[in-house]
Amino acid sequence: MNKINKKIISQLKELKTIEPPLLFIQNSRQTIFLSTPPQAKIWAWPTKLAWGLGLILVFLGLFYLGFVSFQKPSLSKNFDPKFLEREFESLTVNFQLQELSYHQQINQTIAAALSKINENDNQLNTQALKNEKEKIDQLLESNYPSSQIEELLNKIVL
Amino acid sequence: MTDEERLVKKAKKGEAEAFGLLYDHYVAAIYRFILLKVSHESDAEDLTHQVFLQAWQNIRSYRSKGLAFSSWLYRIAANKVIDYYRTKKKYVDIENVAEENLIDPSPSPQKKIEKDLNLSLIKKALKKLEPDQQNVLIMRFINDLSHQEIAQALNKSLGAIRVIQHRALKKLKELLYEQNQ
Repeated sequence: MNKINKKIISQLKELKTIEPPLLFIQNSRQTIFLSTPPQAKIWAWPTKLAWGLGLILVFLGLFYLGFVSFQKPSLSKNFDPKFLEREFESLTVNFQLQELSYHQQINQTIAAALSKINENDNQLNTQALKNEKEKIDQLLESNYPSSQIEELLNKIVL
Repeated sequence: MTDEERLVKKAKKGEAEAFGLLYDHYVAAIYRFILLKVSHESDAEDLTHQVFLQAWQNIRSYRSKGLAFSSWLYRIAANKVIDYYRTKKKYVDIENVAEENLIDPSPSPQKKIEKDLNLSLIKKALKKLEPDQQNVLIMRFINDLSHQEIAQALNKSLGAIRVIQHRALKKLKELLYEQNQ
């Protein structure tokens, strides 16, 4: 610290001699102590406690919400290879079971349909063939008698 | 626990006598600080009274942790001065500080004239400083507060207080030099 600074500081220290008037001190002191003394604020503790509990509840709520959301499968979990593999396996089994039951039903239906068709076919075959044969025989007999046919065949062969 | 801490503890319990001792210890310093800031005796008395009244009525809210009692009082005083200028808009020259407030037992007439002249110059220069610079110089060199106490009172860091003090002294030096020209 240089000389000038020291001089300035010593000059400033001269102002230390400023004192309040004695009368002012006496009056002020008396007035202050005539005023209401400081009292404990009875509502201060309950208010602070309520605020504290409120904050704790808010934090617990936030913590619970965070925990619940953490438990739910998230997007990142869906991309876990093991999780995907398990899911795929369960899907395949389900799919195969569904397919099996579908095939069973289809087979039964087809079998039933075929047996029905066979029954109808048998009836159709015997009856229809008989009728058809008779019709053809009659037609041939009327248009082309058997003697005529034989002659024609002989011509062709010879 | 220091004597002051014990007194504060008792005052917080409502013991007027304990607060009375604190009042006696700090009233002159707080009055000096305020008078050098507002430059008006009756206003300085009024503000000093308000500072101690507020301190007494709110002493329960004072927490000694990290804040010296003196710093707490200066903080109240600094806020009172800010409010004073904000509301009353009074700008009285600091030179108006009555010389009868300056206690000097039996000085020689020559010495008294020199001293008065010096004090008048320094008060005039002090008035031209920034409020924070005034605060730091008054607290540090007139009321002998530590840098730590000033930092707490003005709610600034120790480094900031040292910087303000350095700049304040530099500025004061320039102002005194100008006045002497």
